[in-house]
Amino acid sequence: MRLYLMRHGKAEFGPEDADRRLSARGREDVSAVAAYLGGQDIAVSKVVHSTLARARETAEIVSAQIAPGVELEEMEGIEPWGNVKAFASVAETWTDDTLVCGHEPFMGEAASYLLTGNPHGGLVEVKTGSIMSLSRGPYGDGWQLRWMMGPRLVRGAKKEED
Amino acid sequence: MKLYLVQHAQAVSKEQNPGRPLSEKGFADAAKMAAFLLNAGVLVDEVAHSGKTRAEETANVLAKTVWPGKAAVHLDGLGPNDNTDHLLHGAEAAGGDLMVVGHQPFLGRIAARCLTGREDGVTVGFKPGTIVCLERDQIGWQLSWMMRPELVGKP
Repeated sequence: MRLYLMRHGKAEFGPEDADRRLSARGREDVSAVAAYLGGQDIAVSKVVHSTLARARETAEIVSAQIAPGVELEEMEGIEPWGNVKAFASVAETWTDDTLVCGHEPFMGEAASYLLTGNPHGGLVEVKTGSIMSLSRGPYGDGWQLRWMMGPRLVRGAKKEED
Repeated sequence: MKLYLVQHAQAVSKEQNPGRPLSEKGFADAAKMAAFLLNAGVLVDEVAHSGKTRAEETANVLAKTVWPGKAAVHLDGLGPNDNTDHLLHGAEAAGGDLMVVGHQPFLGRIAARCLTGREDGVTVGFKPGTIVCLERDQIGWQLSWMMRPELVGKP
């Protein structure tokens, strides 16, 4: 089973945190990562996002590329300060390859907890628009890290000089 | 500072050639990873390899892109079962951006040690041709990115 953990793209500022939308740059970044993933051999059959608009928008853009036709699910408890252990116990029950769109510090702590058992190990800080893939064997093996990438890496250095 | 940990690309079997040079796929995968690094703008201060043919060949392909004009250098202490102290202390003392091309299980052990303090603290799924970029700041080492040939340069 493969788990894809992604942080939303850069967002506009706004009075209500839950309503903040992706900025133009955030949409560009997420679209670049989504297009890259769409060109690879990746198919996801379950997509969840947090209750915040910027995570839902990110999930919409990416799922169009790697999970066409999959209905997005809103999940509570994966907001920036969500409970990592509660999330992990739910994720352990999933059998489908799943994309989760959320926030920092939650995503980095969730990845750290799944991979090391310690949510606060400082293993990784997931930058906006970045995504990592974890996998777990069918026989109760632990999680392992497969890959991780972000917009700067896939758009290329030359395109960053704007 | 950054530490790029690279597993050599696919090599032929011992039966085919005891020196285990890269296979045709191995050379193609190394070239794909080099093209990816070029697009990403990655440059380093040194490229080192373990001295085994498959690591040296991989390192030389990548060095053309990330360390232009230089040939990758042989570094002791990068063997499959070597102690991770030598590389870790050397890299931290040198301070620049270093790319090392080596082997499993060594790479998995040093990646885990950097990220968790324990060589078995996390399983980093190295496959032939995988590149893991670690970055060190005041807090310590963090994972920056990780790519493998199957995710790169599909034409």
